[in-house]
Amino acid sequence: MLTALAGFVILFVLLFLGLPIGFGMMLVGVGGFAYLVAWGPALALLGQTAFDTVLTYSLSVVPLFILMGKLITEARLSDELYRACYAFLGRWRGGLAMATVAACGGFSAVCGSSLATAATMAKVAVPSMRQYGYADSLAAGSIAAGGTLGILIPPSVILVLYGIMTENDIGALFIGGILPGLLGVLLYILAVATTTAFNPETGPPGEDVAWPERLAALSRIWAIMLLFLVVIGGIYLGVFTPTEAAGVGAGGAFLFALARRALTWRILIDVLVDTARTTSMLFIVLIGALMFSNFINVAGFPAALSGWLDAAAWPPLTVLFAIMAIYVVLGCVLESLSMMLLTVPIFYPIVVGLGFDPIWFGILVVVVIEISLITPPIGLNVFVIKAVLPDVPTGSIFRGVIPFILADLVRLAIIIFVPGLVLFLPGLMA
Amino acid sequence: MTLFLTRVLGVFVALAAFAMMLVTCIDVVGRYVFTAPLPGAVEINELLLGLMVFGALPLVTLAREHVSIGLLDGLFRGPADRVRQVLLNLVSGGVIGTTAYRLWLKADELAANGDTTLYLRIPAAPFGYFMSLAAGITTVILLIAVVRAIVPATNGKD
Repeated sequence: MLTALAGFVILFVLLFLGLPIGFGMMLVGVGGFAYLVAWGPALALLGQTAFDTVLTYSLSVVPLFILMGKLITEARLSDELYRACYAFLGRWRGGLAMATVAACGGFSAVCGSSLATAATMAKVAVPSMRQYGYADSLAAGSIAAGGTLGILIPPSVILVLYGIMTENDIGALFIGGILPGLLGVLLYILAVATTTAFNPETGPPGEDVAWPERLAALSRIWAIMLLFLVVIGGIYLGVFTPTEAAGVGAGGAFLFALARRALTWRILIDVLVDTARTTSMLFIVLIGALMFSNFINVAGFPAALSGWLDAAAWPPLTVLFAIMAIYVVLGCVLESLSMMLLTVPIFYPIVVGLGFDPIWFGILVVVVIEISLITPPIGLNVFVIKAVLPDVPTGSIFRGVIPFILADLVRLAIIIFVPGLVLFLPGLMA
Repeated sequence: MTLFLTRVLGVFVALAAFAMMLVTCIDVVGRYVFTAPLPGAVEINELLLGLMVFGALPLVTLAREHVSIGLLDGLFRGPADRVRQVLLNLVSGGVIGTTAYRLWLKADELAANGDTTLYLRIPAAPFGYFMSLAAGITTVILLIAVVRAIVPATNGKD
């Protein structure tokens, strides 16, 4: 127990000093295991884990979904998506920000990354919000928050990793993310409505769009709808395994990008190299997390924690709220991927031991991770927006996300008290 | 040298990523349309994943794209920051260098046992050697960064 705690402290110090997360976890994981057992097995395990992890078939779903998202981005389907959402929502007060949030939700249906969703939609939505005189805080806040939906609405790279680490069905996790994702869109729209009700000058309404034009705008996003239906529908109906669905999705996105003449050799190679780099980056963190979680397991940390909780005899819901509170705090200082990979091996056995559903917990973890993407001081989505909009002060972006963080907390509470919201759709699967 | 490395590895990992997409699509279309799935598609994907992850590792490292937090790095300025950079790169190099060495031993073991994939009987050892080599190149990149931080370049040569 003490060894594990020392391991955590050393790891956090190294990470805060700027050591790459994957290397830091490998170092402390191997060192800790060697301290408890011996250097020989610790080092052998490093080679074995590195080798096995990169040769795991179920993990090939990761690059394929990343590739699909990048190809869709190149195909610039995001413009049509935003216009369609604008056609329906634009005329309301704050309507452009509402359309931004809705378009983020739509983009999340074909992209498994929050950072990519935020970066893509920022390029599309910001110019029109600026044109209509939207406050920078509301514009940036809606994109930063809307972008977080990328990891909840399937496909989702984070859910894939959760499924693989906890040996749960990735398909069920994906389907379980749909309704909470839609709830997220709805609550974010309400957050925009509330913000603009108090400060109407932050988000003036856009122009009204007639019904025929609305339908025309909607029909132009058929490609995204088709891709989502084939990929997620295929998983839902059991036609594809997640890896196959991701491969078909990437293939489909490739054809769309070709048909729209969005690809040159140069762009294609860039997209592919980018995919490989993102994958490599992710796998280094994953290998590190596997080494580290092995160490804390050998150190008996999860078992000690469980035993301690048993002795305290807290009601399950209290334990759950305590875990969620830990997540929110950790989310302020940790990056999303490593936060999930570090915490799930510790909390998963506890939560499942208390009788909670593993699929539901996965979705819950993703929702708290979404919050961590927009909380200061290191909300990664905020920095993505900052990169696209260098002239907006980071402070006003963080001010802009506050209403959305409140909406997220409401959503978290709803999911905790109404588990059916997550479990209804997966329950219908074959 | 750096440019050559990025180009060669870039094309290599791009081909791996594209091949993975193609293999999966051919397998699925083959199975549903022609009731003839691609033999060994699963194994090919696994090997491609290994090539892609380790092949791209030097690129990620060169571009300093590794995920990191660095909440406290603002506290370091001037020489103190240089010391920090040197130590971080040394530690990173040590970790990935050890991994390279262990992967080499793993590959030796696979070669000695004559291990192959189950279905297509592809020898596994070369993939282990490749991963080890790529991790080794990554180590060299990190060590060069250490040297450069200690001895500032006097000429503009790469």
